[in-house]
Amino acid sequence: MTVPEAGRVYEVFARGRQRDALTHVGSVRAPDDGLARAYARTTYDEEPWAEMLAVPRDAVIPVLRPGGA
Amino acid sequence: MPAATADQRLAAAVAAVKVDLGWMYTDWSVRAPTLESSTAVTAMAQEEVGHARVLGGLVPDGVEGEGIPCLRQPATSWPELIGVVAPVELALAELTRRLAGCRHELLRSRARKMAEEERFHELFVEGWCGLLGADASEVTAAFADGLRRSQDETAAWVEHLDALSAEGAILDAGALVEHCLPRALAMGREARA
Repeated sequence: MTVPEAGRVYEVFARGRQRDALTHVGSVRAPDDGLARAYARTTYDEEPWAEMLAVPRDAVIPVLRPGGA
Repeated sequence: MPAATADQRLAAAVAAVKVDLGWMYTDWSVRAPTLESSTAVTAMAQEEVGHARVLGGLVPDGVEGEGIPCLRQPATSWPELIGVVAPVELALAELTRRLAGCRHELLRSRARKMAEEERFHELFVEGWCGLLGADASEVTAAFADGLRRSQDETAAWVEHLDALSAEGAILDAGALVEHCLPRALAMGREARA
């Protein structure tokens, strides 16, 4: 039985305190935003984060790239 | 030993279900379909057992809570697991939100953090129910089989909690049935059609 689950990659950012900068903590693959939230929280819950955000990787706008392209 | 009070029996019943959910998730912690879903059920197992321990502190020794029998039977596939746990998790998410605002001080204080964590369990089952209910043939059939096993028993359990809640003046009579059951019973209606 093949269970469906593909989706896209979400980059996960978090900060420990409100005054801290957001830090990239990792990524998860999820089929929708709801599961991305669940997966981000259960995968990266090793610290008591004040805030955690997930951003679809394909929504990130490149500004500078390695090599200058 | 004096008979357990309604609030103690309610805490015992929720703790019993959370222990059983913890075991079910543990059973799938290294064989879920993806790394993310394995990690999720592992974390959820830890949270369920943690919640059970917190609630257990409100229960006198020897008091057994009423559980949900289908949670004590192993799920033979991932879709069946999701079908079995989904109604329970949706009911628990709403239950903990209600308890976080209830009239019983000890239950209220313990339910707040549980409600925050249950929100992510809710997101998890909502996401998976959407995936499995929309799939074809054998996956949806296994999911629907799990739902069939769980929904009636979850409804009976919530009605039991509702009676205890009313008896202990924890929440208004009917509040749990009114708020915890509609989504739990509607889940997967398309899959079962």
